[in-house]
Parts: sequence; structure tokens; C-alpha cells
Amino acid sequence: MSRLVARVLKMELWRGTAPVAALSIAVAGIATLFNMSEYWAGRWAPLAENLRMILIVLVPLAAAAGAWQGGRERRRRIGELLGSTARSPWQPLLVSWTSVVLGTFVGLAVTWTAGAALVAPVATYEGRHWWWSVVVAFAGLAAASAVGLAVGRLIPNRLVAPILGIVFYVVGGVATYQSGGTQWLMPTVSNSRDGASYLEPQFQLIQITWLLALAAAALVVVGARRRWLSTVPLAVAVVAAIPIATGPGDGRWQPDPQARELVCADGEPQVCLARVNAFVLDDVAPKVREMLERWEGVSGGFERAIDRTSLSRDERRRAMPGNGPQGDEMPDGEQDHASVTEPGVDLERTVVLDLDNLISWNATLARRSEHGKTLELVVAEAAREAYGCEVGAGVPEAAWTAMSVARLWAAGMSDEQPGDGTWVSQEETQAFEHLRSLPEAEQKAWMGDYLAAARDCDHAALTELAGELR
Amino acid sequence: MNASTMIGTHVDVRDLVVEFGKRTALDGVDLQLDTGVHGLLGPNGAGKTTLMRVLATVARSTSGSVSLLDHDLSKQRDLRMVRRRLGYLPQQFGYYPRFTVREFVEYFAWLKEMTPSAVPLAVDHAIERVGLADRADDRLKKLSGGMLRRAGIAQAIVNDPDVLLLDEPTAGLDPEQRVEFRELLRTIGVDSCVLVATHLVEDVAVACTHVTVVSDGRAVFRGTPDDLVAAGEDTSDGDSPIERGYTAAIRAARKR
Repeated sequence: MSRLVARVLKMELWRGTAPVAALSIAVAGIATLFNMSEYWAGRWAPLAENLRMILIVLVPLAAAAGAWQGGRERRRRIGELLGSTARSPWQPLLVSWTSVVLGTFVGLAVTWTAGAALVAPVATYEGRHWWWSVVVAFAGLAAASAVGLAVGRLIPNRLVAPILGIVFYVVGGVATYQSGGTQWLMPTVSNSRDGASYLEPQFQLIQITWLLALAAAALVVVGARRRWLSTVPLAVAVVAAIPIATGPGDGRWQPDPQARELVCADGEPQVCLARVNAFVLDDVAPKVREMLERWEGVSGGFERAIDRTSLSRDERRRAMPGNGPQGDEMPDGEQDHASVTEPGVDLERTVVLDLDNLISWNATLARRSEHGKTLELVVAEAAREAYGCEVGAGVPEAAWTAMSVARLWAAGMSDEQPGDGTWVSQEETQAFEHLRSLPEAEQKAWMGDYLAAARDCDHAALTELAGELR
Repeated sequence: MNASTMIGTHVDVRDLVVEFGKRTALDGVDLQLDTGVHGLLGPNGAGKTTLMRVLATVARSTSGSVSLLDHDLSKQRDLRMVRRRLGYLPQQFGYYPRFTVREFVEYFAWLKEMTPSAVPLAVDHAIERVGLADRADDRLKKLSGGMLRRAGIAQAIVNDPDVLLLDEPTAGLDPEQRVEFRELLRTIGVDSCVLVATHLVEDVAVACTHVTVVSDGRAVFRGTPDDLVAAGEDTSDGDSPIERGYTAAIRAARKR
């Protein structure tokens, strides 16, 4: 690039839409990314995944910036003057687009860097192929701004920029609800995988090819004298889009065994987190151990705690109340992974830690999540998850009471509501008060009986246990 | 004088017809221009701007031939050569308000495919020639109407064009600026072909070596300003000799 071209690009960068694009994307990006920092703080891959998620806001901004830049010649009535000059129209168009793209890139880079500043000091796992996701995010902004530029050139209306932004937002939103491969035609991803899964680089290369070919086709349509030349990048885009659209949806996610590998705190009882979450192990282990001590002397009580992220699909299913399906927690088609738990380990006596939302923005353990969840409630959830029957209308009221009481006991609750959205009825509160009024040995005996009945799905026994607390 | 300066016929228009739908904007115009400052006079709607746009390569002719600097404008591959040696200030001068004067002129130097090494000096020279050296780093949105017009002229002359087309260049200039501008035109016209479309017949009388009057899409008078003055000797309509000549030429054309 000659110095003159560099100067022209610099002019466009400072005098065109680029500064506004950079600022708006940085502000919107940081605001949305940090609004859900609990999903990525301390973890590289989730940071990249969440960067892709917030593209639902950033892509429309890039498209609108492109459209505004594209309509500049007409708004300024300078087209005739430009038409009398020697340089081929695609060259100023390319410089103009490059300036917008660089603006959007700066905005996204600032957003990512702000996130990376919170991840780098504490991350315990370097992640796998996550940076390809970041590259796709940049390619997405490049494609959106190119399409915006083309639309801004072709449609003579000042409202085209905001309208196009809204259209991109709606299309991006619809794409996140797609379960098939078409969802991958947008650079946005619908949800984060907690860093326990990754997308294959080959697949992301195809996505990048699709997005950049789309950008090239849009630019050629409005920049080249021979518009038919746009069929070349368009053909490339179609060729790349076919395997994306016809391929699997969530099945593109591959399990990352290294991310799920258990890292255990020194000492007993055993408390282990997935490697990707191990940066909070020092915060989590002492508190969890304190709660596991509660179970000492309880027949069949819990002896260890491991991170839910590490579990295979089957293990997660077994850890749920009623061993029910995981629903949207394990989307159809997502590749499962082998168990990382040691052979012979009794999952039945293992607390499964679900740290979702419990990691604060500064990558430490949050005292209480925005939904009211606490580590104590997470650990105590094991008491309810011990219930081995199918959860549904057939569960007797007394069984619910027993489960609720066991959970409150495990959490070490006093008589207040848990505060996590679950409601404890007056009857359950009274039953729990009754349990707490018993000598400790009797409390533990009741809890041991509860665990046995719950695991055996013995409704009669659960009803009897609840009746003992009336 | 730049390396591509030529001697001979700069503009050669023969039987030029331009139609917009059913309306005929130019109807068989013939025009040959060499170096010098040429005035293009005519009432509103006469076809001056259409002729300027055809010569600026931004409008197409319906029939006839147009040749600039010995290049046929109907040939796409010749356009680029012509445009490199062309300067144009349209009647409606569009600009990027956030650009500074220097940036704007430099941007057009790039668009005109000037040799990169020559650009910085050429930009400074063009800005200086239009008297905007002290405002070179001001943004265009901060300039007055007259200054904007001068910035437009600066971009038009930055490449030392062999053909310079100026459509209403003195609109918005104050009397002193117009005097300076005429002097600038005379300087440029020594080496180049300058065509100035204007309503201001006084500008033509003072600054131009040749004058063409168009009316209803046809060239109805061609000659020197003195010839135009002479054409009005028999009429009293007009405040100055050249105005009387202009009026006489227009009326004579309408009688035909």
C-alpha cells in the first residue's frame, strides 16, 4: 500500500463512519459482555463464545455503519464529481469499506481486550481453538458492514441504515432459535458452552469463507463496472454455505476432554472442578468441604463434590432428580464425551456442583448469583437430586415435602426462604423446624432414611418420613 | 505545465445530441476548443450544464461525437486517460464536510491517479492558488459558501488539468475574490483549455478569450468577447456592451 493510499485510508478512518462505529460497538460490546460476565470470567473459550453471542447486537451496528457510509456519496451529492475521476470506483469503495471495517474491528478488539484482561490473570485452562471463534466474530462484522455498504449504496434513503440494523437484529435473533445448521450462517451463537466444548477449526474456516465471500460479493455488486463478476464470490459463498446449512446444528460442538478434566483440591473430602473452572477451586473447596462435613454420620451421605461441567451426558442425567432428560441443558445432537470420573467412583454419593452464574465478574466465587443462587444451595441441591423417580404429577405431596426439608437441612438454612426463586411452603417450613429441633443424631438418622427412600423411589417411606415431622 | 500538456484541439464536439426521455437538452452542438479561457453563456435550461456534464464524462451523448484530448469519449478504455487530465467543478458542488480542505484536495488527487510523490506539493499549490492556504486545515463544514467554492476549484486544478470545466465557479464569491479568480483563470488558460459556464457575462468579458452562447440546446454564437460586444451594437437592452451582445445573440437565435 502506497503512502498516499495510507493517507486516504487515514482520512476515511477519521472523517467517515469508522469512529462512530468503533465507539458504538465498543460501548455496546462492553456493556453486553460485562452484563453476563459470570458466564465467561476467568475462562478463554467462554469469553470467545460470549463474544459470538453478543454479535446479535454488534452485527446490526456494523451493518448500519456500513449502510450509512454507503449512502454518503448520495447524501453529500458528490457522486457526479467522483464520476469524473480516473480511479476505478471499486478502489474508493474498498478504502471506504476498509475504514468502516477497521472501525468495527477496533470496537470488537476493545471489547475482547476488556474481557481478556479479566481472564488472563486467572485462567486455568488455555482453551482449545477458541481464537477461531474470535476470528469468525471479526469476519461477521466485516460481512455485515459490506452488506450494509452495498445496501446503503443501492437504496436511496436516509432511513436505510437504522432499518437495516433492525433487520439484521431480527434475522440474528431468528437464527439463534434455529436448531439445524442454518443457525451457523450467522456469526452469532445462541448460547455459551461453558468452555467445555469447542468448534472444529475446519468448520470455522468454512464459516469465515462464507462470510468473507458474502462480503466480497456485496462489494463487487456495487463497486465493479462489470457486476456479473459478483457471481464469482457469490458462487464461493454458496459452496461454503451448503455444508454449513445442511450440516448439524448443536452437533457442531465437540466435547473438550481437557477442559472437563477434573482438578482436585488437596486434602479430603475430595472437591474437584473441571480444569476450565479450576480458577475458583480455592474459593469453592473450603466452603464445599464445610458443607460435606454436615453429611458425616448420615447413612449414604455425600462424600465428595465434582463439577457438573466434567460429567458426561449420562452422568449428568443420572445426577438429575428422576434421572430425567436434560432438555435444553444438553441440546440434541451435541457430541457427548467419555466419563472423566474415575472408574468405580460412586456418583450416587457425589455432590454435583453447578457453578453457572456463581462466578462473579472478577473471576471469584460470587456470594449470591443474580438469580439468588448460592454455593450452599448448589451443594444442598444434591439432597433433592437424590430422588430417583420420574418427576411429574404422580409425585405425592409428602415426597415433595421430604425433598424440600432435606434440601433446607443440607443447605444449613434457618427459617427464611432460600431466595433462589424456589418457594418453601408453610408446611415445609414447619416440617423443617421440627427436624431441626431434634437431636443431631436423630436429624442425621432422618436424613439417612430420606436418602435411602429417595434413591429407591419409595413413596410410602417418603410419606412416612414427612409424616414424622408433622 | 504537466508532462501530458498537449498542443492542438482539446475539445472537439460534433453534432452532439443529448436527450432525456422526450426532452432534447442538446440539439446538434458543434464546439472546438483549444488552450485559453472559454466562456459558455446561456439562459437557464439552455443546455450549459448538460454540455459540461458530457464533457466531464458523467453524462452520455445520445448521438454525435465528443472527443477530449484526442480521445473518443464513447470508448470506455479512453475515459480513464481523459479523466486523469480533466478538472471539473460541477454546478452543485458536493463535499465531505468532515474533511479538511487539504484532505479533500488530496483525496481528489488520489482519485485522479496522480503520481503519489507529486501529490503533497500539488495539493499545497492548488490550495494556495485559490487563496485558502490559511484555511487548509479547517474542516469544510466550517467554511463560507465562497470558500467552499474555492475549495472546489482547488480539487479541480490539483492535477494541473489540460481541460478544466467549471460550472458557475464564481457563485458565492465576493467581488475581490472574483477578480482574483479571473486572474487565476487567465493563468491556467495559458497552458490549458478552460471552459467556464456562467450567468455572469462580465466574467466572460474580462476573463475569457472566447465565448460560446447556447440557447435551446444549440450553440447560437461563437467568437471573442469583442465579437459578442459587436453583435449588440444595434440594441439597447442591457447595462453593458457585452450584455447587449448576449441579449442580441439570444434573440436572434429565437427568431430563426
